[in-house]
Amino acid sequence: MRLTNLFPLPALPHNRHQIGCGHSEFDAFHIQWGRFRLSQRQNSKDRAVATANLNRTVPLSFFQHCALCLPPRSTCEKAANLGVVEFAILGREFALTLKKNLVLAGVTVFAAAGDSMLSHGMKQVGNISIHNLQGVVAAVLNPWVAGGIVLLLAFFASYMNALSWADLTYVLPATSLGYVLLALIARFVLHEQVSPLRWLGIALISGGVSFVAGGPALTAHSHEENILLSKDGTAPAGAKAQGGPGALRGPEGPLFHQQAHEEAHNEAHEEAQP
Amino acid sequence: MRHLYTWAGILVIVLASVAGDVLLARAMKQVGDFHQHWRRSGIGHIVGRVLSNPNFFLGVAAMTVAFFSLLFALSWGDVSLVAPAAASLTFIGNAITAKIFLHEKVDRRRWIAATLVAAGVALLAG
Repeated sequence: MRLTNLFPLPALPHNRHQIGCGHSEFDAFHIQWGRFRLSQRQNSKDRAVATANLNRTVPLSFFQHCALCLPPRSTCEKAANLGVVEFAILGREFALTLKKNLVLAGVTVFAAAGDSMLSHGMKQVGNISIHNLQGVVAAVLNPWVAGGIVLLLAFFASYMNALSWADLTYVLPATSLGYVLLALIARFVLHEQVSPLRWLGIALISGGVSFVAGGPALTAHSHEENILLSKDGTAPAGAKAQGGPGALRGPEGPLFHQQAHEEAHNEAHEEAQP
Repeated sequence: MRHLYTWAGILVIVLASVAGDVLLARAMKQVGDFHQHWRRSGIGHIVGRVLSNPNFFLGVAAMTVAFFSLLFALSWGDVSLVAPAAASLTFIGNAITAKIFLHEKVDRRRWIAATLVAAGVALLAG
């Protein structure tokens, strides 16, 4: 899957800070994406080929001017490979961030849509009681209830995915948008009454949980991506992503040749094909 | 009477889903980051690891109880009351249990969030 085709990168503001290479973040990312695909392969021969391609087609100055992904200028000239490797890590991290946000969005949307479909279906089925198990079977056979169950299964899968890399107290609030979505669905699709007080309640819930979304995703364990970067003697990924002291310094100017660039991109993509 | 049923349903949902959430969160932390497993060994490896984790099944059992309580509660009350109330109270319960059992750092930021959510729930209930 080409994530870059689905999401036009210039529209994502943090891309600029995270990558910040040259005058065109979009193109810079294509290289990274290519590197990312290649670095996924466990075969060391593939990796060596990719590194060679990048070194040949991308001028070394590209790495020197690339403030974010770069070791200091002096070490860079000696060890262009290090630049390539870090570059790849940043690209992978960006792709991961995108995936993780998609997972969180999935948790939100699937939960809200699933609950709403269930509610609609249960209103059609009517009250069910513990004494009447046939009623439960009839409820499950209702298409709205069945659809709701399918969506809640999708929710469950994304939820487990999210829990595998984030705190429970981060995942639950990060999905708070679901309440707003739920209220909108209840009001405009199910035509239930939503009073102003309930709207206020929903706003408070959303406001409260947005507090959490600003903090770290994981507190119980250390993050493997950070360890990877720290090994190379650079700042942890978190500081860079937030535009810390290391963000976007370095000389200004035309940094990158369009031609070399596209070449590298094409080659990287060709290499990336299995 | 109807309100009593609704709130009893909500209470059962909250207790069951807090238990389920904490168990599942623990199970998933034991399994490890899905994205890294995916890169290294593919989806089969993830499924295998998840299905060999006892906490996962305990969590799913608790979630199942929560799910059927939700089915009953939804047939008694509005979706815009039952779902947010249950989920938000679950959230507060989770903040407490995650601190105790999962050793997550529930800092001031997260407690404020829990308080605001509680206020929101109170408004929703009124």
